[in-house]
Amino acid sequence: MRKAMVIALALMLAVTIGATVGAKQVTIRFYSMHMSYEPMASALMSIIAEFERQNPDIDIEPEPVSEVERHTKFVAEMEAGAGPDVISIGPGFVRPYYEAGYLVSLDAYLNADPSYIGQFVGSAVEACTWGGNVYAIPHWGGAEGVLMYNKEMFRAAGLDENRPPETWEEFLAYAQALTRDTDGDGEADQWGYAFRSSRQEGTTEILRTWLWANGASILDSTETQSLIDSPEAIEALRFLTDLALVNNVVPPSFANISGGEISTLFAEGKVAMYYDGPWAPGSVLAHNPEMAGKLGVAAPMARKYRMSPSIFVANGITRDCENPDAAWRFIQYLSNVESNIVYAQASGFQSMRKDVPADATTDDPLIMQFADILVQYGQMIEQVPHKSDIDIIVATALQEILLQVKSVEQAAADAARQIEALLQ
Amino acid sequence: MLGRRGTSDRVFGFKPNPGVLFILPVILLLLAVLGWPLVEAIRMSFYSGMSSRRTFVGFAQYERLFSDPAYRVALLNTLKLTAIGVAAHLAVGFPAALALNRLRTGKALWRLLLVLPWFVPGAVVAVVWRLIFDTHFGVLNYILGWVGFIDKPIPWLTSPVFALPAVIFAHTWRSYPFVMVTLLAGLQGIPQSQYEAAKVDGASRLQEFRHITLPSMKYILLVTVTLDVIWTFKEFDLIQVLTGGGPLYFSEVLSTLVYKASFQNFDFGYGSAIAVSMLVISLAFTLLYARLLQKGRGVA
Repeated sequence: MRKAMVIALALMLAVTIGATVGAKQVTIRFYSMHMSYEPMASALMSIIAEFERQNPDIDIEPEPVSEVERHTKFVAEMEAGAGPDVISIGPGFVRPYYEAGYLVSLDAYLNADPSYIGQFVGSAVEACTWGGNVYAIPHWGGAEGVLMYNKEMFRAAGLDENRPPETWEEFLAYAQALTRDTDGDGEADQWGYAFRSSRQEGTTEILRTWLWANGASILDSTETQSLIDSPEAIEALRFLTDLALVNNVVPPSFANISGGEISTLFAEGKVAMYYDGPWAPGSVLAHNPEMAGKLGVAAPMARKYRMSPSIFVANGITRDCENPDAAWRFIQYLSNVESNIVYAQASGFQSMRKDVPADATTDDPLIMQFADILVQYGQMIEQVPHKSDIDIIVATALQEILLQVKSVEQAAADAARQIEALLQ
Repeated sequence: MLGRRGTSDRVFGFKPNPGVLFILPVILLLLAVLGWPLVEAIRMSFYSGMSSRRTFVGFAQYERLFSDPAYRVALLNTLKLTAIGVAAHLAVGFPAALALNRLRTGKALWRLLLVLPWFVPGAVVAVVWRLIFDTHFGVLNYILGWVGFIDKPIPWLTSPVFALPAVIFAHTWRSYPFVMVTLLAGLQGIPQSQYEAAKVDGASRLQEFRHITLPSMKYILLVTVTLDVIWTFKEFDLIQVLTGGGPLYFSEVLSTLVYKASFQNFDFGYGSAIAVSMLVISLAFTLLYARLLQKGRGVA
């Protein structure tokens, strides 16, 4: 009896060791800023769980990283030779990462199925293609320059909640009407508008809405000269900063305020309008469910043009990846129709697959509006070299104007000089 | 066994000291975790570019220090933070130590309560103070408005005027317990008989403080202040989370500038040069601290 038990245990041990050795388990480190935010994190985790079930030889090790730290942490790890295997590349960063040599070409996989890449939005694929090689697969995106407004505050200020401002002049009149002293102490306690001003990339993404509306941009088409000091850009910067310095229609913390802080102020009914992307309704309602039914969404205001800076995120394989075949299987799974529907339904983002239209993933009229604005006015933000540095230079110039350290002209000229020095 | 007759106690011709052998693993570990990063930082300060495209630039990164206005502002802010911060730690910590020393009952409880801020990690302290200082939802503006001191919210952390003072205030809250605990230990070491003799001679409390407490505490005060200067000079986590050095460079200190140069601009060479300049300044205080310790040993 004892002998039989010993043999049985030995057999179990041998089977266990054999299974472990035979499986050749591969681990793929996946880097995504959305692992830090709900409801996106839960959606991604469910997609990963299903992938692992279908691919028992591959373990996905998700690495949550905050939006602010994502670029910093990735570059630091890549420079140390310890980068992740698969990265969800932030808006505008495919080119800088390609130029830094962090990404590997996916052409070996794409050549095996030439029709595969044709399933994705052409402009996004183009932005992932350098030197004729594709370096990332577009995943999700959305229009970021979309006006979010509070219908209840519009009504209280005597404004038509179904007719949001369409021009800069109208916008200023609305913002002034929406800046109010609601408790009668003689000081404003709700404000018409808020805009990002912290020294982060997101600040420049929203600033583009104002620059583009006036026919201005940060770089010229040759990418050797900065146009941030052009008359159109200076006019846009002056209009925006005057909202704080002259018209007093923005909250007092205007000199260094992040997108997250603005979203909180909007959710708390302190701010009536702000520019944001398709994740905004979800995060506002998560903060304050009482905002349900009060949210309005509108196309960006026009001066000369009506354009909404749009972003997309793509998945790529890094040069540090030791198992690119497994990484490619994971990217393919993330990009398939089912995963895209699961992710878009949870997050409100638009899929970058042509065969997953917005109405297939949502029946929420607000999210549908974001999708319509993307189609009508969406313009992908440029893939520029030194994107992170340029974004910080422009955001710094904005703070210098807001803190009245420099005039609009001086701050813009200094920023242009710094950007051009960087480009050279 | 070492020293046993008939066996050699020499290794490669040397007779190892058993004491050295015992501490050798610790020395090697310290060299690995402290020495190597230090050497690497100094080496990197002579290069520019990232690891994949690094080029030797000699002392160019150090020359940049002198012409960079951001460095000058950060150095000035660091000196302000250190000077005002250390004075504030002392202004709060010393009276608290004196009060604790005089307590007859509940001394342990009070000591625990007053030391609590020191136990809290810097990032957590920063998050708590961010909430307190928040322009729109912060407790501070609410209280000041309620008592009628202000009629509109003050943007504590986003104003060029208030950002650095707010940082110093939060830093004082976090750091005074170290000063308090160290000075309390010093106060408890003063023989009670000296105070009793002074009382017999009719000395007032102030005279006792001036002629007994202060002279007895001179050495421990100097050591405490020197250590506090070294720690405050390199403060990072609290400032990074509280203001990130902003708005603009109004609360930028050398440690946050090192972070920005290295991990925002990926200018590791310049970041290392700033870090080395911090090391040189800190080293001056550390040498002072070492001299004080030596002097203290002599006194003892």
